[in-house]
Amino acid sequence: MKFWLVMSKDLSAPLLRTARLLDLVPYLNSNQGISIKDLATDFGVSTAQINSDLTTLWMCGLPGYTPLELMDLEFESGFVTIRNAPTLSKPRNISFDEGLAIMLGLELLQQQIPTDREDLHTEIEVLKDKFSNQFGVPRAVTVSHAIDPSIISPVMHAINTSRDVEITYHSLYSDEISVRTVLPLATFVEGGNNYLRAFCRRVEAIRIFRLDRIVSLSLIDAGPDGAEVPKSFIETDEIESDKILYTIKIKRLTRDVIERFNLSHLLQDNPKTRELTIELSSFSGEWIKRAVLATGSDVELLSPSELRNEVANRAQLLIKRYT
Amino acid sequence: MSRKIERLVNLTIALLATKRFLTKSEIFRTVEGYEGTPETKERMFERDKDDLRALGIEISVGSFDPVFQDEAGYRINSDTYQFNIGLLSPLDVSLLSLAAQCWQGAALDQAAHRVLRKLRSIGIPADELDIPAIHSKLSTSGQDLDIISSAIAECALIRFNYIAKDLESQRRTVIPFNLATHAGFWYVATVDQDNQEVRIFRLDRMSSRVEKSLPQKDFQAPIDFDFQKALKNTHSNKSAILDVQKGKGQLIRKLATSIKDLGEWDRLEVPIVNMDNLLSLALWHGDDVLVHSPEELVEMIKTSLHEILASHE
Repeated sequence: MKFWLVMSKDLSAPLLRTARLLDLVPYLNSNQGISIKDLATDFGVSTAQINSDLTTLWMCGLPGYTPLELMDLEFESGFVTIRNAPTLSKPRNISFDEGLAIMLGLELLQQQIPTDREDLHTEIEVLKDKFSNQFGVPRAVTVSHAIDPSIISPVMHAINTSRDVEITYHSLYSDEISVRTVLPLATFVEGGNNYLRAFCRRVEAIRIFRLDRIVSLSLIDAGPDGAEVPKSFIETDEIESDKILYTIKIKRLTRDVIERFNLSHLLQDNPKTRELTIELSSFSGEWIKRAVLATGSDVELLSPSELRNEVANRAQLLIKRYT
Repeated sequence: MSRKIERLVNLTIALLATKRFLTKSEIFRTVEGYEGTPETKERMFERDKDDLRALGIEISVGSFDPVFQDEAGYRINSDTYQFNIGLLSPLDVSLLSLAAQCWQGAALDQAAHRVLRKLRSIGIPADELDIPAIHSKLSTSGQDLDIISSAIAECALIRFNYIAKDLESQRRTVIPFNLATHAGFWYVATVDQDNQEVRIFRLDRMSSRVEKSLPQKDFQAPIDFDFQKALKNTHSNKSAILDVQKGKGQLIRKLATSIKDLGEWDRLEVPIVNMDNLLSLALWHGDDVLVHSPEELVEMIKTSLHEILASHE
């Protein structure tokens, strides 16, 4: 096995800039005439920084440093071309962390490619072999989507082939399970979550489902002209609902409380000494109530008062059940 | 600063372009930017070499003339410097680009970005591939994935601080042997060096950077270790008995080892891996779940409910 130099992560600013200059040359070489604006976006820096980088590069070249040896850069028009840079014309080798990102990325990609695209699955296997031989990413490092691949792959297949699927769907906050036949149309990402837009046969309308709440799924053969979706259905975005602002008082800060309410920023200082009051927001009142109850009594819900009362009522009701 | 950066770029170009090793004096004479007394130049060069190494650029040191062991020479081998993965088709380029894009906003985002730029620098156009985007939804934490992965490859010890349930931070020394994701979180399976037991850690609960130390040659990773099974960890001698309303309590049903039909309700047997987690889960489900045993859990629920009521009334 081959070991790679792991690039030091905490590079100083001049070193980061050196790395960028070395990487700019092959990039320009393959993207002649690119605008300074695009270049700045691709490298994640300002256009002023790119201009200053190019000015520095302009002074670099082979020993001798006459116009014959210097790189030939043009960028005054706002578009960049480069000539005479054969030594740096190829990109730098891939570091261990970059090899890791590719290997694991290929693994994630494999899980989202429709099952019927065998050609792509084969090609990915070939690439994985190539990269693991060269970059020594251990086999004991694996990754999977937070969503079950046994859900993603058939969904993609159904979208590609316009086939109906039967899904068992769990609405987390209302804790209800429903089974319905839908025609998957597209997946999309919003707020870090994966959604499926599908035509629901039962309600004859477009519905949106969170992919990670689909408990199980099976492809079914489309009935007579089953795949048609009436054009009159305008897609409505059902995700956008109003956020509910709520305030909690943390009576005992635990790891569970931090993770449940997404408060990792509290770890920065020493929060254990204080009683904290924090304002937060959620899309679901049901979630707020359940989350507060689930902390035992580590968290108190201060507002909104309706939800606070409902928490009290729910506790009251449960106490009766347990006596 | 600009002068130093210029010098580093010029040094890289000179060492890459040369077919033979360049001696220090040749470098000082020909590469732009080496000025001052011999000692100053010497110091500059030593620092420059370290800097290039920090960027992952390997400088090979060799002799100018192998017969006479004279002054050492330096060069950069273009095979180690350059990206070279053999022939890539436009389809390969697009698959690799999509693989890099899987990390959007997740742990290896930055490294993936650099790869993307390199892929766009090799001059092979990418095929258009119509693959719908799926957000990996992996937690953004895990900044030290690469360090842990290389430690696994080398059987090296790692050290880090870990946040316990009560928020105490504990120093851990372990040898990692497996890294995987589960439900959107990164986990590393290790052998704890304090007690030689297998321990699993969630990466987003590490409160310090991971430090890697020397490889442990005689380390043997546990055989027959099933990570996914270990993460679901349902092994327990004790179990709780609870009733769940029909059609409700999906989260708790997933944990059950047996389910008995009682009509409107089902009676579940759930292994007790962690009492606090079970308490939370029962409370989350409100009146759809009723716990019968163990008595300890029932008491914990009652106490919590009284405290909740007292503070919310």
